[in-house]
Amino acid sequence: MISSDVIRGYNDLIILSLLTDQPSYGYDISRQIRTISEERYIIKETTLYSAFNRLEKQAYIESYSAVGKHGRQRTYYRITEKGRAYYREKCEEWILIKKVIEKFVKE
Amino acid sequence: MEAIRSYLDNIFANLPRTKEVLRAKEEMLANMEEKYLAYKEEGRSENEAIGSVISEFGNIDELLSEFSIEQAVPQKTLRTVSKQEATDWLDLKRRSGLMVAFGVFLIIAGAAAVVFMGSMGHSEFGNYSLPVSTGSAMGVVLMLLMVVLAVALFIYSGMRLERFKFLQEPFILPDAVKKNVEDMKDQYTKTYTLAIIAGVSLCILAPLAIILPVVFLENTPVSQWVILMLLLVGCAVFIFTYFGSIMGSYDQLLKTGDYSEEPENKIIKAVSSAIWPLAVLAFFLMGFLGGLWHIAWIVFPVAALLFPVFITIAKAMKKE
Repeated sequence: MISSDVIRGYNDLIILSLLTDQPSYGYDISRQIRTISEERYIIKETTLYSAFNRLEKQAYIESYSAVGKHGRQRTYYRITEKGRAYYREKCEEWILIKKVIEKFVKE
Repeated sequence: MEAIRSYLDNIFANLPRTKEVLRAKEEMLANMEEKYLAYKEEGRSENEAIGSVISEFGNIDELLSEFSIEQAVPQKTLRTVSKQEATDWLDLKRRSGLMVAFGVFLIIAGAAAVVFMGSMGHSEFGNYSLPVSTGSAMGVVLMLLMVVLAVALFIYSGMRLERFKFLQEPFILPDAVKKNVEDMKDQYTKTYTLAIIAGVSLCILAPLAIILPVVFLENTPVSQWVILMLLLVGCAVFIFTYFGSIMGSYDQLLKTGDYSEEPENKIIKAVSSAIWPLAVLAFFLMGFLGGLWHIAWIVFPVAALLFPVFITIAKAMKKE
């Protein structure tokens, strides 16, 4: 299990990555994070909502209301062009960090 | 599901109710409910599902810093009112309202009893002639007995309500319970309005009960019309007290109306707690010292009429 402190700076990257292909909503995002991370990272409700709120304020994502499969009214989020650019920036940043940290990690 | 909702209610209870915060709460509730249903589908038990959902909630401070809200930590943790307590309170207040209203009616009926027994002595009731002094004395005794019964009712109902003293301090009413109470209040408002209309009509009719007979009937004994008027006023006061007390019980829970969190007007508060004891005192002084039992009852309708006038003036002056 990854603690939420360590991964803090990369929640944005994770969420934006899940939105690149199609819009999605709160529970679906947290479910995907759980599955893709093979249960190693479970995002907290407050973390997820803070991230949505922050990303929306910076216009990286947009929210809209729609009715889902089971007739539930949900808030969906879709990524914007600005969001895609930010996502790529974050990915490059990570690749760099990974390279740097790698050099200090002794097996 | 209800457990998740009340968990969120409690967490959000102390936060400012801005649009942003309310939206966050709704969104997170929706997410948590979906997560809970999914866990149940995976085959977890009710308790496990709720436990997992709540353990994955996170820390509210994270959200607050996002909204740049300083966690408004109350000096002391506020008492939360449960659904059961709210129901008990409304129920108890209804019954105590009935007792108090009956007590107030008894006091006014006591005044009527004095007039009635006194009038026996004037042989206005034909054969039932009594010496005036004996009649008045019996009337006063009867009235005192009724006042004793009334005071007993006041004390008893006051003691029953002691358990809910904490409602006079600031407290938290969870949203789900609040919604419930608001619905009940809405339903009750119609009854309340009708009751107030009936009470006001009685108040307006009461003086007519004396004026009309005196004007149109010759040689009619005034005292029996005074008794009728007092009983009409008594009924009106009963209605105001009983239905008002029920309305007050909703307002006190919802912190609306007279119980809204505005700074209270100290003068109004002082006068309203003193006016009725003072009226009773004036009644006794006029009766015992002045021997004015036949007219002393006038202090009650006068007080009842002057009090709203005073409140209106006091409120208007405060606004300026």
